Amino acid sequence: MTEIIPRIHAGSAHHAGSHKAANHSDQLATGAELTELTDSSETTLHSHVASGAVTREGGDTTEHTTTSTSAVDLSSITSLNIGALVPLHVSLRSRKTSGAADDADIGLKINSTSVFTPATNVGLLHYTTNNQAEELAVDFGIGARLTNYTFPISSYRLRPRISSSGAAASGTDDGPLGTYTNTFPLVAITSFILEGIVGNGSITLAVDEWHLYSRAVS
Amino acid sequence: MGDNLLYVFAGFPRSGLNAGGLQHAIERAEELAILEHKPEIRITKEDHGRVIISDRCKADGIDWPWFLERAAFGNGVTIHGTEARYSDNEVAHDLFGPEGWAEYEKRWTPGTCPQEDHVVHLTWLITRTPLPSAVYERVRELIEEGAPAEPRGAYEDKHFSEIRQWRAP
Repeated sequence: MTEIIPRIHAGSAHHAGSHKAANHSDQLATGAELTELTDSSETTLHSHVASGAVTREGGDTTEHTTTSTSAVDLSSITSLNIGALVPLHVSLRSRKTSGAADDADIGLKINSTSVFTPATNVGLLHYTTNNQAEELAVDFGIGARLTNYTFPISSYRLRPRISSSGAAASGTDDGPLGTYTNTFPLVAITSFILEGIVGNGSITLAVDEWHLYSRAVS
Repeated sequence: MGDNLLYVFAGFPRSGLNAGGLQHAIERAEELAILEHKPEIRITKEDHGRVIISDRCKADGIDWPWFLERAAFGNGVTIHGTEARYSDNEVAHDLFGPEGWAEYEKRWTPGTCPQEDHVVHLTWLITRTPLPSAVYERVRELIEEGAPAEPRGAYEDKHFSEIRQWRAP
């Protein structure tokens, strides 16, 4: 789903409040041409791009699960074309079931390059080694990717909750956890893949209701 | 990959069985097969020599070259979701599960469908030995035909995911 912000703002009240004639490159235009800005039609004088425009690039609203004890592709968005300088936002829900005294982790691949191969204490999300059902909700940003700025995931708090009670499952860690496997590719993002791993095959790891958004930069 | 085999099926169990539940069905509840769980086993796209893709996948245009370069299939059981372009892969309507094609089609503005990306679900599992045909068929029924997980008493709540139908926001 893509959220479209109208490029042209209608209504004379809005325009009257937002502009001064000196700010227009068309300041030599006649009063009649300036008046055209008050209607909702496209003009060649200028048009607005709404600030903070957000586009949902993809995601998944179905729970996907794994019992794999080695890193596995869990949920993928593969038809992307996101420029390297475009900042991103990820919203993600996850859980692990009981089954064994071991952990679970979620990692990330960009364009088939693993930037965070999930492993014990390594990943975007990390659960405790307690034999209990736990869940996590995480929102984080990914900044522009360019030379000298190749580790763009913003910090966030990792604190699994015990599913049966809502109590904190452990102390708080700062995500992402561990060391990057590789730097982020400095090219357009064409695929965004969440990887998963469990410490014991008796545990089920799940991701659900996750969304990838891009933010306009102009 | 050794002697391990990768079985790929279309969709996911409509009974709600998640990866752990399907694994429980195969290894315990119905004792159908032994799955591979060794951490050092990680099936990747380079291991295509021992891959069995279901007929339904193939009919939908999902064959081995369809998977991403360096795709990782891990071990155990995984229920995976991805997006595919309908026009490239000719994915059948049947993959859209309980909501059906008619409801799914309503999501788009006239004139845009079927060029939009849509979600494709795949279930795969890694076994230590080949599945006999009767066992393969039972596993396929559980995943592709919506066969119920029975007896229900053999399963715990943690073996199931909630099946949600898409609703217009």
